[in-house]
Amino acid sequence: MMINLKNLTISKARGHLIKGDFKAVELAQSYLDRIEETDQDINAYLEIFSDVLSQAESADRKIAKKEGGLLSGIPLAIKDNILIKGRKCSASSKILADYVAPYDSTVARKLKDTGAVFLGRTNMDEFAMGGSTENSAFGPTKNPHDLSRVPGGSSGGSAAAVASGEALASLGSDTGGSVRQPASFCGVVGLKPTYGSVSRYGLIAMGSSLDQIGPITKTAADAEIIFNAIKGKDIMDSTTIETADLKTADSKNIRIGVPTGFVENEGIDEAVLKNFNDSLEKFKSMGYEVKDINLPNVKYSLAVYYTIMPAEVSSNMARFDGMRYGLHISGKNLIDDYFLTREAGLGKEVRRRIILGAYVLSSGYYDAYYNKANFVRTLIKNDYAEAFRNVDIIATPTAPSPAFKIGEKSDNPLEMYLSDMFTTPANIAGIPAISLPSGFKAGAKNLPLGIQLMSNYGREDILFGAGKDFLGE
Amino acid sequence: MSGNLRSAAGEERAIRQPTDMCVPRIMEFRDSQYLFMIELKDIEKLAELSRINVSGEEKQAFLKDIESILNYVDQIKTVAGEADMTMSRQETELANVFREDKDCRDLGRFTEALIESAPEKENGYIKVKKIL
Repeated sequence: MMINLKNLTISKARGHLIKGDFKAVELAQSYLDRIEETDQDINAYLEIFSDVLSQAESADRKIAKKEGGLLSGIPLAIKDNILIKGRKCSASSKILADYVAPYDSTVARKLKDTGAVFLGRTNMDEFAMGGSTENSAFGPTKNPHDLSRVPGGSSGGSAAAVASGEALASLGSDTGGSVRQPASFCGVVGLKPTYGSVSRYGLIAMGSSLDQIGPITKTAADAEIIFNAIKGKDIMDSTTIETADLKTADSKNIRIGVPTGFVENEGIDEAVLKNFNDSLEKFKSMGYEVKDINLPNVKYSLAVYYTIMPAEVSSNMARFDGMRYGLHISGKNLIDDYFLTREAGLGKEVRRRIILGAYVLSSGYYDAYYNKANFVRTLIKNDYAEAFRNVDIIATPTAPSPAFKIGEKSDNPLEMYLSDMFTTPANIAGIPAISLPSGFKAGAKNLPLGIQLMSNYGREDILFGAGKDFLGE
Repeated sequence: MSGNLRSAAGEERAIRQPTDMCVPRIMEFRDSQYLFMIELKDIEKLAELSRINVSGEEKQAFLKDIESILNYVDQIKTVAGEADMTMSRQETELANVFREDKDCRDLGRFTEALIESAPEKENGYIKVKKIL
């Protein structure tokens, strides 16, 4: 049969593969053809793996023997900061341009076990630092809805790949919105799971108390399938937690809280606000209760984030010394090697965040910044704990604007950071959050918008349930 | 090391500065809002500590960027105020995770693959320039 990639989902593809309507090899070939056709314009991928078809053949054998899991033969794109043994993993940085992963990340191993096919590795902001994919050392990714605009970031390649039909689904990583914001900009679904629910082993670290791997998909049901495949406690990541079997949310009597004071700030695009209010009406019409809530400290999330994150970045980036792996530029002595290697290998945003992090951690300023930020982080967590006594979901727009133009914010880091205002709180608190496509801002080219739903720790089930209702799945 | 404090009314007086590192002077306002004045030499010092070369032009740009970011994140002080910072590590629902220090992995299982990644190596060791 002809494979219609446009309307294909993981669950549908799984059905076709089992019935034998098409083989995993044919499915993989369809994606390779599509990539060939469109990725020159979009630049979602840094590399298409040369063994895609042989991976698919082995998936076909598994399917024939009724082995493997729900993802057998499903073509996925993987963000370039997630290690797959024997393949390059560059984090879109020159310092790791030729680095080959010596081991599998836990998520890659789990996906391999279930029979998934890896199409390639996707473009991103260097070391996941950015919100537009413009910080990639290998050129920006374009938004499939408007090639003059960014796809969001840092998982911009992963979101653009799914939105343009160049992958059925993908993995991204989310430290301050890096799965959800590009999902919103590209009109797809993005989930940031509960901190600790998915192992970070083999994920190139950015902000270790904030990072979490999550799926980017076309539907909420697909996000659920991938989340279930990658979650779980892992001895290799001591921050992982035991994930109880997913509860099934009772879709009746779900209460949505809206922090109106936080949402309606001067930085928000009018079209975004209108679309958000329309989305809330849609939830109401489906029987959800929508009420106003107050999260007094959540407005400080972005400031807390831009203190804690650079502090963790400056520590995590210290490992790139040119000695053990990655780029090495030789100088006149050892310390010269460090300076030359890091100068040649690390991009501007990375160096800016390292210096900022070194500042907030320096003696005399540690208390003024880092400790205060941790204190406010606790206040923010408490706000959510209090709110979740009375509501099941907290809703905000995913981003204050639709996708912006390439180059529009690249000279002003603070303005770029402000586009994370709605996404950072979930990372600060560690709670799960999903971005769902909620419509478009009309214009010369219609630009996708997203609504973000957050729930309490470990309650991804509520997000999937509401997501399916909202998207009519 | 001491800096200048300028109150909202504009009077200057000396304030205590961190003594153990060469980092920015603070201009403190009456409402305990800080406005940071970072100097080029501070950026140079931080870059050196971070083992990063920055060009003259880039130093200027970083100075401007970091100053504006710091002025933005400064708002956390209004909410944190003079709160008891021993609370800053309050993580009531989290606990340290320990494992037994045994049977974790086979000795040497990853050695070869990891050494293989090193830019310069010799006889199973990573080779670096002499340190002293």
